[in-house]
Amino acid sequence: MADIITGIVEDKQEIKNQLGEYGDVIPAVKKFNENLSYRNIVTRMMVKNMAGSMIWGNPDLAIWGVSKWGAALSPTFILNSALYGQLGNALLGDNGSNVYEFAVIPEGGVYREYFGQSDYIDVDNSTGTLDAQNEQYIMEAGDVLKSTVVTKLRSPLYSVTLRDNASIIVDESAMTLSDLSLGESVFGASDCSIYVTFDDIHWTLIENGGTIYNPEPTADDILKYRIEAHTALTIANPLEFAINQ
Amino acid sequence: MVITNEAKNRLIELLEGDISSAIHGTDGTDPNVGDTDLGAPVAATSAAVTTTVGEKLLNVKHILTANDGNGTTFREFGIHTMADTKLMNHIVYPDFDKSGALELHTITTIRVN
Repeated sequence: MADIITGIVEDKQEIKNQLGEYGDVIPAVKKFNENLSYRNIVTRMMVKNMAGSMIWGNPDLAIWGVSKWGAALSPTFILNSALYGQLGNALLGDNGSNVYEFAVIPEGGVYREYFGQSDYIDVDNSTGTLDAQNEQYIMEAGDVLKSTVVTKLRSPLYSVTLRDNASIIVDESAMTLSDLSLGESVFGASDCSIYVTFDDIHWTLIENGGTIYNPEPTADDILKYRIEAHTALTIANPLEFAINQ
Repeated sequence: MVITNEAKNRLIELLEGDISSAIHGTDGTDPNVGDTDLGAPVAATSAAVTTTVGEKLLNVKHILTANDGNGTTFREFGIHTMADTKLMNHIVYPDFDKSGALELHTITTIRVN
């Protein structure tokens, strides 16, 4: 141990000596700092229901010698049917199956839209411009931005909050499951309105002469948004909604 | 100093090369960052995943086929790295009663930013 300590002292002295040889040089230490985050943004679970279909290899449906072709009442693959399974038109097993969203689970209950690509933007029903290069969404007056499903937890929705913007906070604290059938709920500030459709929770932002942007990151790395009067709207990433928090 | 988009995309590429499979389980206990496995994984649901890469983005898709896990109520899901050694994430979801008429597709989106 004594040898180690002696060695450390000698090393320190050597460093001092070297600095002394270049006394006119002022050592400068700068701290460069940028955050790098890893996020599991969202997990989407889709169910493909194939009941009623003729499905090759399925353990329950159309088992050779057990299940009858065409026994199901819903659209199915039926030999000689005028409607289903027509050679050259219908695909085997294609009829009767459907895909629906079972659950959408954002990380930590917070949905984040980064505008890096259009995965979570309802492109068919949105009218603004996605600027993927700069990760922002640009809206002119009257434009509409709609998201795909933000969250689907199959549990009561208590609140949807646009993070850190006191002027567009939704706090439907008394919501229950029965309220999910209400459809769209309107809330928001004077410049922008946000709609939530409760069956599949997603959002719509309608430009009405406001600007949402992120003036500064907060300590917990959640960007602030605020509204000012402008003629165009640019939404920088990430746009965040907190669910049930 | 900035961390370049190239660097972030490189991390995505490395992640893509390391992620191999995913699995469902039956334990509905809330996940914890210290988890190293699902609460009650069901081996029959473990399957290789397919991945697609976007700008600083990685989508990981797992399919629980019509043949697997039937008669079981699933509540949890996780992604594993190569050789099933490390648990990358752990989510708990609403009860899902699996039958032979159903396929469950789980798409996980990971972002490095």
